[in-house]
Amino acid sequence: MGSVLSQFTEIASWFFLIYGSIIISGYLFTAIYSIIEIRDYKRRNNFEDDIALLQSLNLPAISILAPAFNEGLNIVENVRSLLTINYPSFEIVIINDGSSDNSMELLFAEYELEKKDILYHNFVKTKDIKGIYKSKNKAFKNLTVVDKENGGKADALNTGINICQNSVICCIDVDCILENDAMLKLIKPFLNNGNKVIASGGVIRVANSCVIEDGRIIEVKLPDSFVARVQVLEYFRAFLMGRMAWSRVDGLLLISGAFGMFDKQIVIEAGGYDTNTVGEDMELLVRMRRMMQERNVPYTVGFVPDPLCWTEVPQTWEILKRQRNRWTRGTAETLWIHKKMMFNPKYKILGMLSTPFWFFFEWLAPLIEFTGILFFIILFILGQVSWQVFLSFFLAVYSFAILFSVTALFFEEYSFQQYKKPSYIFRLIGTAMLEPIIYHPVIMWSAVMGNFDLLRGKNSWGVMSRAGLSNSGKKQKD
Amino acid sequence: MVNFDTFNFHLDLDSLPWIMKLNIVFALFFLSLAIIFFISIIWIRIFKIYRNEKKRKQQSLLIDFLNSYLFDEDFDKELEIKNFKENHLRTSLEIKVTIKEILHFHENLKGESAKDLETLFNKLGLVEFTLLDLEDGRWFTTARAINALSELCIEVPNHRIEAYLNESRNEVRQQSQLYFLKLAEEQPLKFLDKTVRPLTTWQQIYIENALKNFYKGPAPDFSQWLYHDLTSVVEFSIRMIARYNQFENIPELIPFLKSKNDTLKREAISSLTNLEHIALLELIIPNFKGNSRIIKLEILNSVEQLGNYEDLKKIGDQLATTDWELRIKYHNIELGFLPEKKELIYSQFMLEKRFEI
Repeated sequence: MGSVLSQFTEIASWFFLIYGSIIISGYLFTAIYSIIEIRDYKRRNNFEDDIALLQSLNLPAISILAPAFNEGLNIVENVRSLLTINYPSFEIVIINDGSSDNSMELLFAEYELEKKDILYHNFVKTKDIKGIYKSKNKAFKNLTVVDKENGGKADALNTGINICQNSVICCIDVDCILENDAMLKLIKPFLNNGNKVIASGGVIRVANSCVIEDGRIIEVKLPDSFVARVQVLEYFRAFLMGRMAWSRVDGLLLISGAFGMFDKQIVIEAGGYDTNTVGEDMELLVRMRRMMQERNVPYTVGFVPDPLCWTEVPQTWEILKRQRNRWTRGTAETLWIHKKMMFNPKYKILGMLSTPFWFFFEWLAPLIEFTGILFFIILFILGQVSWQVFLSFFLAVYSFAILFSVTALFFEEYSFQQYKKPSYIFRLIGTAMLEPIIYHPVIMWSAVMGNFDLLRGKNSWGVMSRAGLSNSGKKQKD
Repeated sequence: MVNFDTFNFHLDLDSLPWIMKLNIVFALFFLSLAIIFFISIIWIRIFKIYRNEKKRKQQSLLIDFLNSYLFDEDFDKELEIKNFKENHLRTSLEIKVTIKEILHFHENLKGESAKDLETLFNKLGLVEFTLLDLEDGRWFTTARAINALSELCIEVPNHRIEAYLNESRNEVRQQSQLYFLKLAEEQPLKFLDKTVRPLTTWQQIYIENALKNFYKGPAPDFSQWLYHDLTSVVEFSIRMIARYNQFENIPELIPFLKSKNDTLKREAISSLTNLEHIALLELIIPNFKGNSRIIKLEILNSVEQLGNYEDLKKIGDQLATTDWELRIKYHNIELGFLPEKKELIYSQFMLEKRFEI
């Protein structure tokens, strides 16, 4: 019995060691690719002339689609902010997804809406539309509001796709704050590429505690709450390290649902957003890419690392857990739907690198980590824990976690340096030191529960209430 | 149950099991790297603060210097230039900031003042610096050098820039295109003859902008590139024929209505529409059905702009019932032609939609 246990311990230890080493190597490569891409991006964008662009008749018109569900608290200001975007030709389509609050009444009153008979077709099947509204006021001629039955975010976006007029769509969260030149930057990959560009994504930044005025970020501040502050680091890691590297090798599988631009025709041909998954943003991009690969059409997906979109992240543990639970389910569902791609050379980098990476290191990592903890507990109960080995292993893992965050912080300092106050660096380093002990276990547990919920057949978003940016440093209007 | 003997720590490294040694080595490696990155962050922060401060100082110095140079008649130009060169152009940063600031001033000035700045650029020895950059070999330095040369209209032998017209980097190609365009007194697009890499839409936007806002000579006859090897060049030329109202080139565009290349065909339809060539409709409506989706959409645009309800009806018969995008476009144009029948058209469409007719 003793020798069997000893053999099992040996095998398990080797497994965890090899898995950990592969993850670490993956992250190191990611970091190297990212820094090269960031440097390249900065050099590429030295000679931009926004005036030439804004005067051009060649920029494609964009439809900005913003689903809204019970956003009454800020919807009027959010729409006003969207209407001031710097771009020659665009329309804003707000899709009220059956809100139970007074969102529609507020929009009616503020933007002088009236019902319009607009011709449209359900290129993608959606829930029924109650009405389409345009403003009587010419100052808001770019605005269209669609009132529909509740069907979830994916359904709302599909409705927007059916209604909108332009061939390029930008899907955003209605409460996110866009930089003035966000559209000009995000459209660039579509126009400056030899291959057909089917989508381009931007970096999302954390807006909690930032000073906001008239729908624009005036001063970037570090969030006061620990939970939000860790997410600043997480977003650095995800966008400045992860997605930059994947973009470099054209292996991006995810464009954030909060801010992404798409070729409408390709979206429609791919079937629009899947309403049966909670990870509709990732699933759509994977399906679009899969379709293009199967058609054998040269194409690419762009990525812009500039901080173009700011959003409020969860500030409480409960909401954070729900969000991460949903992200896990979304990842698992997408990987399951497109399991055919994995290790399939027909899909090139997507099949041989991106999907396996997502499977082994995004979806599986928390499960393996959890198994590792269970393994440790069993050894502890059986009195088989060598505390010296444990402590040395913990030290190695902990130091890697810190290195990972500090590297991401270095990338931010090197590239965009949005957090200007020197004290912020020290607070972020402090946060990085606490994260593996306080924050990470919660994230891991949420992911494990996400998988459990998925097996139970849970398919809802859960309530994702927000504190509202007006409560986090936003300068109130008079 | 728990064996607390295992808490007995030893610091004798040789006696440690290999896994512990490995863990410790990894931990030390990661921690060292983390410390290096942390120091780098602090260093970058200090470096950027220091550099920005130097930049700010140089900029404010330059603002005074350039204002005096340009607008103060008592300013001893030769002496001050000599002083400035000796005292404030010693480091690479000072030179880069000076070039950028002169370019910035130049962008906002015209006529004599702009010429004076070009002279000053030369007298400060910045041309030599820019030419060194041009030969530097790194693409971003080359692009920056070509940008400075073209912004300040500094001519260098053509072959030195021509080499970059077909560079692998978009940015270098774009800067060299703009160089030839901005310096040309006539034939601003002659560089297209030597272009073998496709023009991106982005480059086309900047070329058009430079053509309209920087080039002062006579507009080129764009028809000379209608048979260029690159589709993007032909597409651009077709578009420019319309933008510059070159009605005399309408006959040259007609053959493109039969092009097998949809990009060119669409551009030709769009340009002929913008040139208000009424006869276009007779050429494109009869063959509507045999076209691709994007051409059909473009034909509908032409009918909307140039035609009437009778023209539109000729297309109505050729529309497939399942082609909803085209049908919506069709009905929207119909609504424009027959505003009094708005409700009827709308209800008819909704009925068809409901029953998927």
